[in-house]
Amino acid sequence: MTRDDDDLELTPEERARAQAFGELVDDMLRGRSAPPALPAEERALLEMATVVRATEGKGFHLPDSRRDAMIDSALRPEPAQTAGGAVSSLHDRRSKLARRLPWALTAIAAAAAVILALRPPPAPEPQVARVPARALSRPADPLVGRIAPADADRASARLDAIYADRMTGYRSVRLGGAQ
Amino acid sequence: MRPLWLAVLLLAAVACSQDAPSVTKLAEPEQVIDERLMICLNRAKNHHHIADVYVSDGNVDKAIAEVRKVLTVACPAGAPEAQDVQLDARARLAKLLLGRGGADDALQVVDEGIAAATRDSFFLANLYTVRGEVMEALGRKHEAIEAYERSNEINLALQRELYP
Repeated sequence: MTRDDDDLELTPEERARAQAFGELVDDMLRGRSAPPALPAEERALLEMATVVRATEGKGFHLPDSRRDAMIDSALRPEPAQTAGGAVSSLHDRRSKLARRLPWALTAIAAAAAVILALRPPPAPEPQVARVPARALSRPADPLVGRIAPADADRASARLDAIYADRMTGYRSVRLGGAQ
Repeated sequence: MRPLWLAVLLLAAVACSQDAPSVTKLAEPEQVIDERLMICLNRAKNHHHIADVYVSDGNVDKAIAEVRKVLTVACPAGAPEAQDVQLDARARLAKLLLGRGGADDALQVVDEGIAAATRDSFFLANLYTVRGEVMEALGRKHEAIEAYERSNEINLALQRELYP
């Protein structure tokens, strides 16, 4: 990003950053060392600005393009700055995380998929088909009832009734789709 | 974002493949009325009808022989109807034997049936009633009373159960 001289006026934020940077340069000229948490790029810029400031009036001139680049670089807002002006590496770490997160999720999903695929399927719960009671083999007591002594030898008549009843159930199974 | 889509598709595919197969459990085969039971009942019924004809003709011996055949009809093991039919055939057979003067044979037929019974039923109660008659014929009155009382016990218990 390159700024033209008459492009824009400095914003208050840019002005504050320029002021902070100038104070850093002045501190360097007074013999103080650069803040320890300063990133390498920022540190190089600070040293260069200190040299330029120190050689002012000694016949040393930077080309205009180089000067503008330095100013733009100094004024460029950084996303994560500490209160003291030092830029943290949090942004870089976030970028790395953002790049790696989808692949990490994919790896976890793949592992889960393998586990699910290898796991034996749950035993299916049997569902008891509804078979009508008339289609089931069962005692004939409810059909016949109590047998009177006088009817003790009337097995033939009772069996006729049992057979007819069970035939109804059998037909419902065979023809009625009871199952 | 491609990796995320890949993960979603992968999990969805596995989830779909994990559906448990639906299993329908039918009633146990021996519980459902089948051809074997119907054939058993039909054969027993026909033997009884033949015996009816012989009885109507006064041919008790042939009627007895025909009813005996009911005892040999093959029926599905454990079918409740099969036991009912067997007990009822024994009651009829015992009555026929008793009418012909064969109380001892009748008692044997009855006692074999009682011994083979696995549950109480109106048919078993009826067989106890016939046993009482046989015991009376044999002059064993005390045992006759016991048999009648046992018949009543079974009948009362079943009636309470079936018709509360």
